[in-house]
Amino acid sequence: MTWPAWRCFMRSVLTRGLIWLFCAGLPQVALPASDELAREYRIKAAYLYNLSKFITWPDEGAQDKSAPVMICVYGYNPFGQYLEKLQERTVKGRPIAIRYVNDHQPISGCQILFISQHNTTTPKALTLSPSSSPVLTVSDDEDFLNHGGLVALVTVNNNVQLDINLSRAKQAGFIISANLLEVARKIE
Amino acid sequence: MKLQNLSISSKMIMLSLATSLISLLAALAAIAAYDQYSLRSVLEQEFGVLANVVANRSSAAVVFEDAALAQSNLSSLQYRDSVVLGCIYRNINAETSEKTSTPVLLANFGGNDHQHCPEVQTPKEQQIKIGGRSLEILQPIDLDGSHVGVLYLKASLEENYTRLQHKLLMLVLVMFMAAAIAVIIGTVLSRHISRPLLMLGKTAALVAEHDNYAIRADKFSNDEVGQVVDSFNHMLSVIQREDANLRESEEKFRLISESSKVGIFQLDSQGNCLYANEEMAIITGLGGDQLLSPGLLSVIHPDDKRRIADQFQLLFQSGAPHINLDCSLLLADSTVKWITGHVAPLHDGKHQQQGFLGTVSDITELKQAYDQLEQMAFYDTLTGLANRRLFRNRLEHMLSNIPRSGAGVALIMIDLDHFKHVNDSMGHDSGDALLTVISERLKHCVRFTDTVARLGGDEFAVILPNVPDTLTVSTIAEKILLALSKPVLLDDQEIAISASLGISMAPEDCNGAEHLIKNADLALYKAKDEGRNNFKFFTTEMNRMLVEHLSLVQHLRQAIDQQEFYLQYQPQIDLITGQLVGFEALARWQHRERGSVSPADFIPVAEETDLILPLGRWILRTACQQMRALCDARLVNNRAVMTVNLSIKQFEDLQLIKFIGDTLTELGLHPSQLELELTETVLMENLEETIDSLNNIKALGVGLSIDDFGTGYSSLGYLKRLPVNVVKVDRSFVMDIPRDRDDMEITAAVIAMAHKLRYRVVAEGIETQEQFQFLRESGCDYGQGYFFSPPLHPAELVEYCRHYQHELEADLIRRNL
Repeated sequence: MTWPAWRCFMRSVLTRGLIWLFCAGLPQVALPASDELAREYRIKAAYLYNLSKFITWPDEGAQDKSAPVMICVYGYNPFGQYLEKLQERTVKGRPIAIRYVNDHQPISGCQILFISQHNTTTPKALTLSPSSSPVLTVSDDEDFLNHGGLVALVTVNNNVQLDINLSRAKQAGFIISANLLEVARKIE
Repeated sequence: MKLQNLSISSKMIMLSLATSLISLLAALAAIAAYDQYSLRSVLEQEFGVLANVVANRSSAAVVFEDAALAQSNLSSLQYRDSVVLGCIYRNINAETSEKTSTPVLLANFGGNDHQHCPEVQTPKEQQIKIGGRSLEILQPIDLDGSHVGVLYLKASLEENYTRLQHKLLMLVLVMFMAAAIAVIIGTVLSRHISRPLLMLGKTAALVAEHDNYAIRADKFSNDEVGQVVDSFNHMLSVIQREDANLRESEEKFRLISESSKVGIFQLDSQGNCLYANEEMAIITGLGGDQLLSPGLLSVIHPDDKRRIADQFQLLFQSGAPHINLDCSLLLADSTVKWITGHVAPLHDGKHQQQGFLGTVSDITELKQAYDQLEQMAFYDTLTGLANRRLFRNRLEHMLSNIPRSGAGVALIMIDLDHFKHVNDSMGHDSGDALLTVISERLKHCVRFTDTVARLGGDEFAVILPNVPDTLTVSTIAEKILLALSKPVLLDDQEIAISASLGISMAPEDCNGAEHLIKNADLALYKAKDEGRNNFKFFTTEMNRMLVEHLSLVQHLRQAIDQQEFYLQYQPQIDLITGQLVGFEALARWQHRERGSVSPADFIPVAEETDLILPLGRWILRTACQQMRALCDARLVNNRAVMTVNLSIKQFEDLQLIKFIGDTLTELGLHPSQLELELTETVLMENLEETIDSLNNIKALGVGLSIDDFGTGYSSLGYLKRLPVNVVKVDRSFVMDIPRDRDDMEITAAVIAMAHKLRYRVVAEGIETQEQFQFLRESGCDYGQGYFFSPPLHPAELVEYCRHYQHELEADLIRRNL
């Protein structure tokens, strides 16, 4: 399927998801996943983990090397417990912490902020200019990049692929490994 | 093919070849090895880097399971020819981010039926395995400190091997080329070196072949070979000089040797003859090759061979300083020679023995002369009998043996009777022949152990050792006499001679050789005295006689000094006229002890010694003085003759004639007033010697008469030669008148013959009237004897003469009346 097709499809899905989130405003609740969906979000969780390995945060040098890498999930958590498992891993020698955030919680201190496509609202932080600790915003909404996101995990034909807004990331000060870029589907 | 025997060319070529090949081989091997090593290194590095890069690049692909990306990463490997297979494995489950049990192939590149991605284990770090033909790399793909995948790369080293093969081929090619170049260079080099050396060798060979030391080698280069050439040439110069010296020296030796009258020969250490000069050839009678082999040793006389061989052994083996060769040679032509020689070792400058040098001289003549001398020293040259010296030696030797053997030794002294006569009448050669015959006969008379010697002249001696008694000796003496009395044929004339033998015995008759000889001589003298042709044994009587004889001699000597002599004069009367014609002076000796010694005794003794000379002179002088006195007293007329007996011995007085002349002159007597009288026998026996003296006396004008005429055996031939005036008939004939008619006839014949020869005859010993009568009738001229007067003293003589004259005058007067 062509990228624009996928985009259309993902947009529709995403829209649907967002609308649902938006409307419900529900706290994080683990949705009962089908196998395929489980798999999908397992992979996305892995992606999140792996992403962190290919990206250098702007302020990474100033960060405490022993402080955990915060992966925040905004709003809806599609990963279930799968993300929890990441806490067993390390990234660049740092442990991983998972935090679930919403508008009411600051997103500073998060290295990665995952916003599920099923969220109805968009965190405000997104629209704000990068704070002192820039966050890598990741979503599985295929339209995410147009909305100021940095990385989108797009499912295409049962494969999860990456879209990266390189210029914005660069602007934010992120250094993205070329390897990752090569893997990515789309780079803006 | 021994290494040493190869030529320099070959050696050089081989060396060059070996050097190049080995160095090439080594170099190329080293290079190849290094090359391989570095290539491996490079490959390792290269592929390592490659793997690293690819792995790094693929980390995202692996974690995100982007096979396409992984594939495309691997595909970049296509640009690397040798990569045959590349495989990327993941060992992360993308879903769970958990490790897989085994790496799972994600993507691959290359490969075919034979090559496919193997099962791998994730290595902890890069693993490179270089096998024979391929290089395999297992590279872990890391992400954030953990292995997320494996990259497997397999590169083919075929290219490498092809390169290596090409290299080896090149190597072989290069080596061949290098070998060829090496051979060429080696050849050139070696020629450069060996040519001068070969030239040098050729020059040396040339020098040796032609013995020409003037040749010099050419110098082609100034290197070590050139130095050798210089040294060689220098050596040749030295050799040339030494050779010249040697030749000169050899020439000198050759000249000396060739012209030497001494045989020179040289032997080597084994005794083989290397050189012998001309003289050696002459001495040994060998020529050419035979002179060297078999040489001197082959002509050594068999009698001396052993001894000489031993001598040479001494020289060769015992290292004696020298040996003498004194031996005889027996030449091929049976000539015998005698040599004396000398062989000594030759040493060179370092006192190493070089052989032997020998010299020999031919002393055959010398030896013969020596032998002859020896012979002559001991043997009589004419007869071969022992001579006096040998005789003496033998005699003494035999006498010294007497105490041991006990048997007696007899000595026979032999004197040939009248040998002198034969010698004179037939010549010395005949005399010698006679002696030779006699010698032979004598030898046959005696045993082998006896010695026959010729003592000189006609004296022989025989020594008979081991005789038991005198009877044996008598027998032998008889035998000798018999043998010698046999006639000897000389010049077709048969000569009969006889001998007188005197024999003495040891130990009875002597106490020494001298004594024995003297006694034998005495016996011989006796034998002669008693008629000859007999033998006499020595007796003590003879000794006594000898002593007596010696005493007489002694007294006689003294008598002359002490003037014990006086003369008596017996008148001679002319038988026809009755005139007193002269006197005969008779010597008388009155010794105080002996008394009156008869002239028959003392004259012979005087004659034996030299005393007759002064005695004779005294007699002559005294008689002449007496004559002078008588003439002065007018007792005799100047026709009277004083007759003085002369002894043959007196002719030994060389001044005799002069003395006679001087005496006559001094006393103023006419030579015709003196007459000298010699006995016939003596005259005959010594005719040859005395004939000149007699002629000299005759020349003086002095008269000569023969006394005892008829008693000897003078031949008329001799008589003719005698310059005599008067012949005196011996008293023995007169005595027999008138009894012995034969003698009377003889006397008459003699008188007649004498007259025929124009001699006058005097008869002595007339004692009777009949004798006087007969003689006068026979024509005898003068007479002397007791019938007329006995010998008178000077005083009596004067008286007689005076009286006679008176008587004669008276008688004449009576007759004439």
